[in-house]
Amino acid sequence: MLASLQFLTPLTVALMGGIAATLLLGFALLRWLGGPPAAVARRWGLIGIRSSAVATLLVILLNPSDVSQTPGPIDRPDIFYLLDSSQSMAVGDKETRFEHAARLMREADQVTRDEAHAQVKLFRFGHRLAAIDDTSALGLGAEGSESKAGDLRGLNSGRLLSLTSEAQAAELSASSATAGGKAKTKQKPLAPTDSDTQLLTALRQVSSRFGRRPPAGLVLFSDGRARDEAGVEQLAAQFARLKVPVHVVPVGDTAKGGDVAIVACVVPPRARRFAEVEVQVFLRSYGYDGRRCEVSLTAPSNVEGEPDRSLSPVVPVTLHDGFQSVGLSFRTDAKTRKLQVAVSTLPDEVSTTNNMFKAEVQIDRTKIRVLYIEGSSQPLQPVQRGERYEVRGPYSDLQQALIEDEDIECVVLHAPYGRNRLMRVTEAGGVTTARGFPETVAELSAFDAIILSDVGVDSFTEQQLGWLEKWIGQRGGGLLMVGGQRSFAAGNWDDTPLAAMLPIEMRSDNDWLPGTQVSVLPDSQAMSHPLWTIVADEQLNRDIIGKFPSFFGANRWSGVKPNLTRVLAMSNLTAADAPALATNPAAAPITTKRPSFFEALQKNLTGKKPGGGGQGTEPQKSEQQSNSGQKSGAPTSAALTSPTNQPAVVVGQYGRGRTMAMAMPITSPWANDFLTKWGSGDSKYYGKFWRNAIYWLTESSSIGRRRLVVTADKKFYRPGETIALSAAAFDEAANQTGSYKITSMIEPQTSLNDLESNYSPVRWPDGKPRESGESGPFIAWGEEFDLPRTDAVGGKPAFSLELPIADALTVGSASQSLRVELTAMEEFTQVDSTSLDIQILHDPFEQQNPFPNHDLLASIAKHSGGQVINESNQLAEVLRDVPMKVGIPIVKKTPLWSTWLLWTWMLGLLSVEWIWRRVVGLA
Amino acid sequence: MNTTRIHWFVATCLLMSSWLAVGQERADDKDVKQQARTEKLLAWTREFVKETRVAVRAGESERVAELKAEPVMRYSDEPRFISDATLWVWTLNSRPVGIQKVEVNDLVAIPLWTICFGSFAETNVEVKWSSGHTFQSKEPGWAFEPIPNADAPAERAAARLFQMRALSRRFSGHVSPVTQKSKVEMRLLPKPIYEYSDPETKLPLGAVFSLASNGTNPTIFLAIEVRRDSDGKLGWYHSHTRMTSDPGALRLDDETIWRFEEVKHDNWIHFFLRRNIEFKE
Repeated sequence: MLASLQFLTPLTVALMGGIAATLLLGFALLRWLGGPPAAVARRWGLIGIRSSAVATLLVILLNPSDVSQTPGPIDRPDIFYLLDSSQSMAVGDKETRFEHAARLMREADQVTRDEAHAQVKLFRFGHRLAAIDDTSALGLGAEGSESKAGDLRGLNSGRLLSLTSEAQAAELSASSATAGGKAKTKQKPLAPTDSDTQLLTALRQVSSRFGRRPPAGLVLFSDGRARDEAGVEQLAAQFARLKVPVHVVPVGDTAKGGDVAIVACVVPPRARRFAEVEVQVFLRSYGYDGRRCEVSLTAPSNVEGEPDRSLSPVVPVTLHDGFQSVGLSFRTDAKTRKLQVAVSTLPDEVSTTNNMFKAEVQIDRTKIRVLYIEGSSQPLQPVQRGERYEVRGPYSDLQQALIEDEDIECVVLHAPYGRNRLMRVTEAGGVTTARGFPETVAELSAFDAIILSDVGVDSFTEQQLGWLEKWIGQRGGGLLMVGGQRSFAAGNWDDTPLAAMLPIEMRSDNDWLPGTQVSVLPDSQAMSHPLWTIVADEQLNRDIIGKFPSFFGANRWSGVKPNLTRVLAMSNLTAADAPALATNPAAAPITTKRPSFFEALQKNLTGKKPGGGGQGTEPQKSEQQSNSGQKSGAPTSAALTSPTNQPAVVVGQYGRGRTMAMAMPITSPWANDFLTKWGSGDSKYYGKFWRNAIYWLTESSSIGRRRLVVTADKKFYRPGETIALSAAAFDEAANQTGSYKITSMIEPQTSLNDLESNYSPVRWPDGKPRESGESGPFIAWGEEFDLPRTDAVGGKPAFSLELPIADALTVGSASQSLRVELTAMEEFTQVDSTSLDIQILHDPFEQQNPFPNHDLLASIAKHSGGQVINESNQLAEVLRDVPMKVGIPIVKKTPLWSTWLLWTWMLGLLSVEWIWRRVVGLA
Repeated sequence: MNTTRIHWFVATCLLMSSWLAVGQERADDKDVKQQARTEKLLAWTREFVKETRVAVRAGESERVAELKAEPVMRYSDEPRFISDATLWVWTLNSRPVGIQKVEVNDLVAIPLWTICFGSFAETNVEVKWSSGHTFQSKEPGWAFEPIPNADAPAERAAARLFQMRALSRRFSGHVSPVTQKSKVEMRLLPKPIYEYSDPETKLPLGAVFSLASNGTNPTIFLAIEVRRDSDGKLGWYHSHTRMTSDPGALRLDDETIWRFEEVKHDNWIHFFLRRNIEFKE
C-alpha cells in the first residue's frame, strides 16, 4: 500500500489571492472608520491568539490529506490441472507415474513462484472428477518449505497403493498415519487409488467448473490409459473452439516390455498348527505371453542377512496375457506365519514392486483335546520325580509326548488288564474310578480325537459306540486305533461301527500276531504326509524316518479300504525272539504278583517257559487267557505261519472326520525301541510322531465345544457368483438343532469411513422378507438378516442361505474381503457366534494393461490446440504465457484536519481570546 | 399292473410312511426332552436371579440395578463338566453394572449350581442372594483405560459398531486351568453379549465382549466404550473383568496388559449351591 501527504485544497491560487486581498481591504476599511484600536486591545498575547486561529483556518483551507493508492486487481486467468489419480498412475519403480506428475507440478511452481502467472486449480480424476481445495498436498503454492515436506511424504505414500494388495495399502496407510499424524479432514487423500480412469467423463465434467470465464487452458497429467478413449478427440476439438487448449503431460515409460504382477492371494486368515494350508495366488500379466516364470512361497526372515525360508516348492508358470491363478500349499508350524508370495521378475518390466505379495496366517490356538484309552496290562509303578512320586502306567509315554505341546490336552482312560471298566487317570498318574468314559455325547464331543490302544470293544456300550460314530462322522473328530492283543479283530472290533470307520478291513478271526518282529518301512511316496515330518531338514528327516524302530507283535488286516485311504508305511513281519524283560526296566512291575505276560509272550514266541533270573514269577495263566476283551481262539494258522508284508500305518477319512490305523502296539514291551530308542536317547522323535498324528487327525475337527459351525461353499468368489452359507447349530447336549435363530450381518474388512458406499457388494436374496427398513438391491453393511432353516440331507436340522454377489465391484484392488458375522440365538439369548471371511476376486480395468498410452494424450493436445509437455520448464512457460489484465488502482484520501485535536485546538484559541477580552473589559 | 402288485405297493408305502413317522416321533421326543430340560433349568435360574438384589453404591447413596429379563447368553463347558449355564445382566440407566453366571455343575458326585457374579460398576456394589449369600465388592468392577492407536469414534452408528468389533479383535487371552498343565487360549466371540447406547444421542456407546474358554464359556469380559477424556474429546476405552478362578492373562496387540493369578474376590465372587435337579440324559 502506498501512502503520502498531499495538500488537496479546493481553492485556486486566484481565489486565495482574492480572499487575502478582501481580508486586507476589510481590515484597512475598519481601521479607517474606527481609528486605531484602543490601547487596551493592543496586547501581543491577544494578537498572537488571533493570528494562531487565522493560521489554523488557513491550514484547513489548504486541506492536508493522507493519500493511499492500491494497485488495480490483476486478472489472472485460470489454468486447470487435471491429475490422473487412477491406480495405473502408481506404476513405476524408483518414481511412480503419479510422483512424476507431482514433481513436474512442483518444479514449475518453484520457477514461477515470484512471477505473474496463471492461477492453478487442481482436480483429480479417475473414477470421477473432484476438485482438490488444498493444492499444498502436492507441494504447490505453499509458503513454507516444511509443510511441503510433509505433503511430499503423503505423495510418496501413494506409490504403492495400487497394483499391490489391500493389505500392503493398509500397511502403508497405517505407517503414513503414524509418521505424519492423523488426517484432520475427511477429504479423500490425494493418491493414485481410483479403480477406474474415465478421462472422457472427466473432460466433460470439467467444463461445468469453468465459471463465468473459461480457463486459459487445461493441463492433463496422465499416463493416457483410460477406459473411455472413444470420443476424446472430438471433445478436445470442442475445447479448441472454446479456445481452451488442453496441454498434456504424459507420464510413464513406454519402452518397457510388459508386466507381471501378483494381484491377489487367497489364504485363510487362521489355521490350526501343523495344518496344510492352501494358498491361491492370482497373477496378471501383460506382454509376456508364453514366457515362463516361477512363483515362490517363503517365510520372510526376521533377521537381517538371513535368507527367507522356502515354505513350498517353487511352481513354474507359463504366462498368458490376463488373469491366471496358481495353487501353492504349505504346512503351518507353531507360530503365526508371515508369508511372502513372489513371482520372478522378467526383463524390462514396467514395475517390479507388484511382483510380491505379503500375507499372514494366524495360528488358531484352540486347545486340542485327546481322549486316550489304554488297555495295556502293564502294571502301574511309582516313579520319583524330584521330591514327589508319580505313578507311571503304560499310557504315560504317549500322554507325556502329547502334553509336551501346550496346545494339546490329553485325558487318559485306563482299562488295566483288559478289564471292561475304564478309569480316568488322575493328575498324579494314578487312576480313579470316579469318572470313566464320557457320560454324555456332549462330553464326548468336547474332545477332538480318540486313541484306542489295546482295548477291547466290550469296554464300551453300544450307545457309546453310537456316540463315537456320530462324533467322528459329523463333527470331524479324529479316530486312531493302534495294535494290541485287544485291538482290531482281536478285540472284537470287526463287527462294530468302528470297523466301517477305520481305513482298513479287519479280519473276522483273531488277528493278533504276538510272535512277530515288525520292521516298519515308511512309504517313499508318502513322505510328504505330515505324519512323517519329524524335523524340518528334508535329508535329515529322511534319515530319521529310515530308522523307524521295529516292534514286536502286530495285528494283521485283511486289506485297506479302497476309498479315501492312504498307506503311509508298510511292514515286514518276521518271526522273532521275545523282547527281553531286562531291556524294559520301565515296564518292570514292582508290586504285582500277577503273571507277567512277558513270560507268556516269551512262551508264545519260543515255545519255552521263561528261564530263571530277572523278575519273572510263575505264570498262573497266559496273558491271552486273562484278557476279557480279547477274541477267543488262537490266531489263524495263516497269520502265524505266513508272515509277510502288510500295511502298517494307514490313514483315511470317515464323514467329516479323519481316521488312522496302526498295526503295531505302542506300549512296552512290544514297542520298546519305539518308546526309547528312536532319537538321540530322549525319544524326541517318538513325541513328534504322535503330535503329528494328532494334528493331522484333528485337522477337520469342528471343535466340539463350539455351538455354531459355519461354512461357505468356496474359498473365494468372483463377481456374479453366489455365496452359499451353511450353518449347523448344536444344543447343550451336542445335538444338532434347528430351534435356534441364526442371525448374520456383513461387516467390511476396512473402516466404514474409508468406504464409498453404505452397501456391501452382496445382493439381498430375491424373495426374502426384509425387516431392516432397507430397500435397495444390496445388503447394507451391518444390516441383519437370518439364515432360514433348510434341513440337510439326512434330516439333520441345518441352516443355509445363498447370497448373490454384485456383477461388478467398485473397489480398485483385485480382491475385496468381507466378514460375515453369524450368531445362534435362542430367542433373545446368544448361544454362540462366529465369523467367516469371504474374499471376492475380480479383474479391475486398471490392472489389465500396464502400458501408458501417450498417443492418446498427444492426439488430445493436437485436437485442442495444446502442447505436449515433457519438462517442468515447458509447464512453467504455459503458466507464464497467459494474458493478464491489471485493473484501475484504488486511491484513498483521508483529510488530516478532520480530527478532534485540531478542532479542540481551534475552540481553545477562540475561548481564551474571548475570556481574555472580557477580563480586560473589551466587549 | 395287477391288483396284488398294487396292494403290495400300497402296503409298502404305508410301511415306509409309518417308519418315517416313527423316526420323526423319535426326533420330536428328543426335542421334547431337551425342551423340558431347558425349561427346568430356566425356571429355577429365572427364579433365582429374580430374587438376587444388586445395588450400586456411590458414597452414601445406593441404587438398585435392574435385571434384564432374558439371559444374554446360554453356554456349556464340558471340559469343566458344566453341561448348561446362563448369563444374566443387571443395568442402571441402560449401562451394565453386574453380570451373573448360573451353571449346572457336575464336576463332583453331588449335583451343584455354580453362581458367579462379576461387577461392571465403576463404584462398589452390594449383592444379596436368596440363598443367604452376600457380596460387597472391595473395588470397582470396571476401570477404563484408553485404547492406544484407536481411531476416533465414528459419528455413524453402524461404523461405531464395526469399530468396536475391530477393536475387540485386538484383544486376546488365555487361562491356565489348575487341572491342566498348559494354558487354554480363549476365543473371542465376535458378537458382543451386551451392547448399550447413549441415551441422548442414541449412538452406540459401548459393548461387552466375551473371551470364552472351552468353546463358549465366557471367562473374561471385555468392555469397549466411547468416553470423553479430560479435554472433552471422545475416544475409545476398555476395561475387563475376570470370571474364573484359574490364572490367566489378557493381551492387547499381543502385549500382556493384565495378568491375573490368585483368586481375589475384590470385584467378583463365586459360590456353590446344592442342585436338586438332574440334567443328564
